[in-house]
Amino acid sequence: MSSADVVDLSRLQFAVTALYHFLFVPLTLGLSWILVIMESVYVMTGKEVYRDMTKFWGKLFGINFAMGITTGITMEFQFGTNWAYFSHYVGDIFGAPLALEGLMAFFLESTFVGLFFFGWDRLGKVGHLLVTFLVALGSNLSALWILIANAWMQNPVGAEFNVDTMRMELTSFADLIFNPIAGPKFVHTLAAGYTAASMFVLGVSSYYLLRLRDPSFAVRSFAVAAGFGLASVLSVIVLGDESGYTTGEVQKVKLATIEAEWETAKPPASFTAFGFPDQAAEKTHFAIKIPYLTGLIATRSVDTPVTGIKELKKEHEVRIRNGMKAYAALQRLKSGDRGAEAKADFDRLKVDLGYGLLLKKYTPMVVDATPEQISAAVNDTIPNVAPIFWSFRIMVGLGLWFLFIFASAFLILARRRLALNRWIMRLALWSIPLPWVAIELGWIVAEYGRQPWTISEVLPTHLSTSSVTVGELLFSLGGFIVFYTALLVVEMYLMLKYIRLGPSSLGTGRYHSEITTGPTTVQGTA
Amino acid sequence: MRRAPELTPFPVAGSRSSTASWWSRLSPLARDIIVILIVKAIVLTLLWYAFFRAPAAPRMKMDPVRVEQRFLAPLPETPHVIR
Repeated sequence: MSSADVVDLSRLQFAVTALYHFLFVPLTLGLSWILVIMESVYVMTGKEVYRDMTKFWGKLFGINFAMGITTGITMEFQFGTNWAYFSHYVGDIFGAPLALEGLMAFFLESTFVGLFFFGWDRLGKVGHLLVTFLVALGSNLSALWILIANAWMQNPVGAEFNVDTMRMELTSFADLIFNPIAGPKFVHTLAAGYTAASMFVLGVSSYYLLRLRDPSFAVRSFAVAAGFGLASVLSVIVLGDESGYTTGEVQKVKLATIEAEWETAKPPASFTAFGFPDQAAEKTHFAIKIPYLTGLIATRSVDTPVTGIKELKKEHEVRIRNGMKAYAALQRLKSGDRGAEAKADFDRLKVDLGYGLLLKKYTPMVVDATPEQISAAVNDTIPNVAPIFWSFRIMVGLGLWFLFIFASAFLILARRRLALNRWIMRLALWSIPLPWVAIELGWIVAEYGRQPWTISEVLPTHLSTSSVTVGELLFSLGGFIVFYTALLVVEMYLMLKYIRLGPSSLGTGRYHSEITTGPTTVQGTA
Repeated sequence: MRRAPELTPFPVAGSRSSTASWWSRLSPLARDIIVILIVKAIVLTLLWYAFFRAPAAPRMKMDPVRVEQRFLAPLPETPHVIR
């Protein structure tokens, strides 16, 4: 087993844990705000049904929260053990955001989640609403700090490489916080979570409505989800567009890979809606293009080109050759030559040091790399195009599907025609898992599209891993898969159990299995 | 009816039953969640103990010399073959 297996297994382990973790996160992010909306209506109108809605959906929120909490901690386990060199490189930058995330998650969020469940009889109406609001704020703010750290990996601003400590060190906290990647990424991720939670509430409410169970409760839940979901999915699309623009500005490789843009086309670049990217031939077979779209989204102009993969590779070859010189300058500095010339050489070329480090995959003697080794490293600078190309298109297609569902649900409800349009309830019910598919694909685009770097253009992935054994990685990966799968099975079991019980699980005596009268008509149909 | 407060700090015959009655007063969902959280904490601790208790970068920091050796000195593993 070679070091390549260690790198691949470390990546697989991190990907598996991150993807599993993010099965729980979106519902926490979105459902918390849906609870705020429901409880706000209860406080404003005093109608008991909104209190019941907050309690019932809060119960499902609680199941998801209990299953999801600490599932992210396994990634922190991996930082120090599997990704030691990466951890060392980013430790100075990640320290503050991760500490703040911990404070938000464990103090603000968890404390108020406890008060949410146990405070109904101890707090006043407004006091409890404030608690619900703080639960939502805490969960969303904890996501902010993680996404700031992640955005720095995509676009490492506000930091400098320190030759003595051999790590990146923070030079500007403001640059870290206001990283142009961070803002759109944060809001796009949150809005995606809100969309997922809205689809969940819309779908489950549809389940009740299709069975004519608790229509008064279900139609109100349906209405909240339709409105919140429509606003959220529009935000996802707008912020996705903004994310595309910032990607075009600072992550040209990722943009070219998403678009399978092999050549630098005449601006404005067209969007390849469909096709089969062929990395070996560097072309896309059977491409169906929409004129101007990529140029307009990625550059916000009609005369700025979107750089193609072939041209980017030429640029990368120049940077790798500069990186070899930066590497030589670093070796001189580390060997004790701290003269002005050695420092000036390194300072001039250090921006390309990461590109020089790409050669370490092929030769221990970076400064003497052969043209073949340089060519291999150049090819490595472009991630595998097809998975990113397809993941992006499926994600966007699903986003448009959600827009159709939420807009239809909203309009049908506004026209009070819900009972006559059972198809929208069936679509909503069967679409419940789809936001999770879209979200996971979004993460694949974001993280797989960053390869071959853990920190873009600074630290290659193959140098970031530790000297752990393949056996350790396989066993710990197996342990994580069993652990997360068990959690997911328990989550599904509990969710389905309480969804089937519905608001009857509150024991108020007002719902479905607790009353003997027959079903009533669905409200909002007359 | 409210129970009288315990006057002795030592375990008495009724303490087990009071735990049992506290447990039985919880809703089935609360009981399920408490059990799951306890099992989860145990499993996470075991995983950490088995594989992650001796990180190479404790507190996200390593000896710079070790990093230097990794980045600047030849790697011990066989370099990748270029295809």
